[in-house]
Amino acid sequence: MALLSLPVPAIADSPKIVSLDYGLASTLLSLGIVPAAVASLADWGKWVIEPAMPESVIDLGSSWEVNLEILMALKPDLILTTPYLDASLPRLQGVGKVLRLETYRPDGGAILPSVIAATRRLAAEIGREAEAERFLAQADAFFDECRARLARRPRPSLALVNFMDARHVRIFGAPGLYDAVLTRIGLANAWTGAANYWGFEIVGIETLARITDPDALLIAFEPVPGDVLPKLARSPLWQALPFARPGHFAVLPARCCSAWSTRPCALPG
Amino acid sequence: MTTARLGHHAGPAAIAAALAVIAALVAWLQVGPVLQAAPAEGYDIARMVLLYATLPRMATALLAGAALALSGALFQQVLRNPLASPTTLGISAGANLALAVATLFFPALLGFGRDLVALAGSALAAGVVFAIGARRGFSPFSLVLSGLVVGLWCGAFSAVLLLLNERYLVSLFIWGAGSLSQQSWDIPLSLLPKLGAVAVVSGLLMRPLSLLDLGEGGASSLGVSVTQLRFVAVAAAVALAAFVTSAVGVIGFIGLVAPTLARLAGAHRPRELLVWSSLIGAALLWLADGAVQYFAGAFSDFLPTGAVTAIFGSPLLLLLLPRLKIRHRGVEAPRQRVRRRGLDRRLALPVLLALLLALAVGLLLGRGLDGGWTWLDPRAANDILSLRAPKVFAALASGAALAVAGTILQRLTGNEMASPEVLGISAGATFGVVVAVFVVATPGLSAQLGFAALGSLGVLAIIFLMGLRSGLAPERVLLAGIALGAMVDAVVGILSATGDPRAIFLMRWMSGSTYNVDAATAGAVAVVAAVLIGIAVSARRWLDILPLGASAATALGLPLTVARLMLFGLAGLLSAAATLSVGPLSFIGLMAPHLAREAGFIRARPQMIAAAAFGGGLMVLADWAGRALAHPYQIPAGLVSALIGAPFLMLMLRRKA
Amino acid sequence: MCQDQTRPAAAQRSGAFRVENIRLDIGGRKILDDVTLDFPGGEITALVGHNGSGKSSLLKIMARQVPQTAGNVLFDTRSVSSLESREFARNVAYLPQDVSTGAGMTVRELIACGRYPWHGALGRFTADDRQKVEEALALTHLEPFADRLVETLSGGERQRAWIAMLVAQDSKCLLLDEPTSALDIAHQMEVLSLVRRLSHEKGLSVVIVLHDINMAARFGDGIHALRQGVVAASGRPAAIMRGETLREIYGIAMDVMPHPSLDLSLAYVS
Repeated sequence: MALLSLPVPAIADSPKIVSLDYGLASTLLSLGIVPAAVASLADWGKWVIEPAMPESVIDLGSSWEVNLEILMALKPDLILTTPYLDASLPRLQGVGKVLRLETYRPDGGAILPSVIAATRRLAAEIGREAEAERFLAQADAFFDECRARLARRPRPSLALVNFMDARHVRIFGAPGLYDAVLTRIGLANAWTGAANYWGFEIVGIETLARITDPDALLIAFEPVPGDVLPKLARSPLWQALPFARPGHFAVLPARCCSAWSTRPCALPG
Repeated sequence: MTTARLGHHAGPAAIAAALAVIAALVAWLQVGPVLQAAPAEGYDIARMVLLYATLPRMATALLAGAALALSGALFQQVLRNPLASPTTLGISAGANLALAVATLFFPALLGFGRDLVALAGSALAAGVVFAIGARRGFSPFSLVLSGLVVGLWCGAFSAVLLLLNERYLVSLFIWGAGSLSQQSWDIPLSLLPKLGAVAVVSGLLMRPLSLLDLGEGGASSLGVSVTQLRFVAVAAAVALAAFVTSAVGVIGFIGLVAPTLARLAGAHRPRELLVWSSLIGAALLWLADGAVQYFAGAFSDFLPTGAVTAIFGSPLLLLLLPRLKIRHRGVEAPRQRVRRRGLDRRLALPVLLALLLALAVGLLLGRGLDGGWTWLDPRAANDILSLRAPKVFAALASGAALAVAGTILQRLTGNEMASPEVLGISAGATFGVVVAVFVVATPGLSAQLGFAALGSLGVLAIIFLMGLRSGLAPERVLLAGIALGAMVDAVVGILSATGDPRAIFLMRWMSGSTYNVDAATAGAVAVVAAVLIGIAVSARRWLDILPLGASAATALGLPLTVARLMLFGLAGLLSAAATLSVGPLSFIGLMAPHLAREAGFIRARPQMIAAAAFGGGLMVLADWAGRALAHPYQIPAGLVSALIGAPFLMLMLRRKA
Repeated sequence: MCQDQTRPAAAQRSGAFRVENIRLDIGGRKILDDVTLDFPGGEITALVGHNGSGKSSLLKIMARQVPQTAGNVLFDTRSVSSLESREFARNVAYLPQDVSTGAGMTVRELIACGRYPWHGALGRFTADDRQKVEEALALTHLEPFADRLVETLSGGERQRAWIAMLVAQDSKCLLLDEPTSALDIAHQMEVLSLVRRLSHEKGLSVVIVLHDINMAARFGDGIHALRQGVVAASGRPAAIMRGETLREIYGIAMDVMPHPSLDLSLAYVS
């Protein structure tokens, strides 16, 4: 009985949508729709933080193995997923309508346009085209503003990393959403080395010496493991790198999953 | 006399020198251009990289290689087993688990010292292994076996943490794959005194270790306390491996390959073996790391050195296995005295009832949207049952299949620790699937089953061929399994560390999730299992007679080779079918036959049937617990049963002392 | 060499073995060299010799456990290699030197294993099979132990249980490889008396490898002695139990003296 007597957490007139992906879930929120359920909701507060997820949303379990019993009990009108989770596709299709939005493309094509296209498709599917256009316009305006603000000052190139441990970083390059956004707002990615399908590469910290721009800035996303900064401080090599100079290294909070990113930091490896 | 001495040293010296020369050449490719370039004014990053990344990395490789090889040589000498190695005692798995727990729950500890956390984990794992081994005077067999079990348990626990916290633990993959990347002299300089101290202790052990070669009785009659000697030597070996592992991560197989090379090159006495193994190990890892960097440049991918050495080390080991002379036979597991209750018939009913209860719980009891416990709602019954029934019945069939495979293998090898998991048959199945992932982009179910069956039959063939020569010496068979398992881990480790999506598929396969089992798969697994179990039951007379010994069996007119081949094949197919849905690590194949024996089902047919019931029932409960405990998150059934099964085995090992 | 050719009648009874020109090389070492011997049907023949003389190897060749390098083994005038393995087991039963502790079986279950050559892997265990098992239990006086676990028996009882399994096999010939080696003197007597009783009551041929020449002389109808892979002596116990013959077999100074109460000679090292 408990299964059916629960309050249904969606707004009455809006469709009941569940998302298996953080990026798509936060896009839904941007379009003014509260999803009925989101996969891996338990970690939302640690990795996404903003926008905040309302209390009423139900946890679907791991995105790799969505809890099908919950999914069936919810009887969603639409299930949002990405090609990354294709292994579960046959199971999902048995439950309800599935919308599979592709943002990363194997051919390494431009990411930003494909993210925008995905947003429009999602909006069309749920009848929120107007909200989507407003949201995209806002974002566009925001990027333009950033670009304009940056144009007025010297623009150093940026290297974006996650510290894995005291010896390794994940560095973001092309093709990837970070790289695309950097380009969009008129900044250069300092890392011109190779990156994989999702736009990152794991390297030893000494490899950062390959970055040739002496004025490059290093941006690290949280969380930075506790032993990293003390260890780096003791490394003569790090001290010799341009980033070790004051003002060339910053740690940013973990809002790494922006409104459109599907999984840049949610990758397991 | 002198020439004989020289003869013993010439072979290993030649190998060490050859490896060192090639390694130096590869190193020159890196170092040369920097040294030849004119020193730049001011900011000379190339020189900084050479001084603080390249050179310390080489120093670390040399130190780690020597230490791991010395550790392996000590293990082999003390455990009287040419195939023992640091990985054998669950040291790295313990460190891995400690790091995972610290990363998730006590991140502050990492700031305090990542290496200390890893060291504590290694020490804890080694402590458990020692505690079990102490009961039997640190007998080699009990140490290897408890090391294996502790290692698998830690691995299963880490895997659960990983599945529930996928985003957090990427760094663990890097650590687990053993990267030697350095940015300062910190690591080599801190390793040097620690390793040096232990090396001195090992040097002091050389003389008593030579006496151990006389055999236990001989050594103790000469006044060497075998138990104390074993303890000190194994502790030294554990310390060496744990120091290296905590500093740079898991570097697979150097500790196994270097002493093996030294031995094959003619080093036999403990002194020669310890010295030359260390030198060969240092040169080998130096070379391997140089080659990895050279080729990683070409592929532009992150290639962790440890995983690469494991990938190349394990096939080498498998090749060497049949050629190795096992000078000292491992100590066999003492036979367990069974109290036979003769209650076959009367116990059958309770066992059946328990199985039905497990099925009922698995099918009917679940958790609702709010996480509360709830019985199946009749109105939603169709939907829910269509989800649960395939999982439950696949778990039942797989558990039963593994249990019967375990029964067959235990009877066939006369070794009560034999099982699909321990013998590497399950690892073989997984390895087959790894191959499938690379050959067929997205292997369907039939491709998975086919490759899994090929993999497990391949391992069985290796075991069988070795068995023809050595009478299935348990330690060889055990270590073949470990070698294969490590290789699979290494492949998955590289894929994970580089972010390859195939890693997810393989990790889920290895953790034994019933998630993707649909009605058709469940039906197929159930039918295959039922048919194979039926065949196994009809082979009961062979299984009764074979444990009497090969000559007694032949004397009764039993076609020994045919019977062994057929039964090994049967066990392989059963394992492959089961691994498909519950993964390679469930321990059911080891547990269920023992439970059946403990319950008094001794002869082949009742033991197989009872083991199938126990195995199936346990797996159903494990599947249910995996779905219910962390609701709405799901823990794969294979991992749950491994988490329950490994401690059970440890208890059993202790009690049998 | 002293070949005794005075037993033509015995060779005619069924269950007779004959080995002809047997050679066995293992790893370049010659274990047996041109051994030709008769093992008459219905009699107990003891195989004796020093350690490494090849006596156990010869028995293993006769039991088809080890293939000979050259030569023929004939059973009732047929070459044993022509027999299918279960058919051979219905005719010849073999007890290995190191028998297991019984793999958790009861005595009755162990004895029932002896019926395998008759019912095979899939055949039914018939009333006839059951009867043979009960007979074997009775013949070996093991009824009180029938439901005990083999591993809980004493050494002598365990050997009896294994011999009972061979009895249930219902063959014409028993090949026993040092069945008394781990037993104290009382249990040696118990087991060997059982073997002799079986041979006499069931008319079984027995070939038994023995360490102790006095036991061989006491229980054997005939004795074959090997030395370094060749036949050193062969004949009735009375013919073997002479000082010079024993010296020939064992290579040390030996002599015999009469048993104080039985019509036997006892060998001793002089």
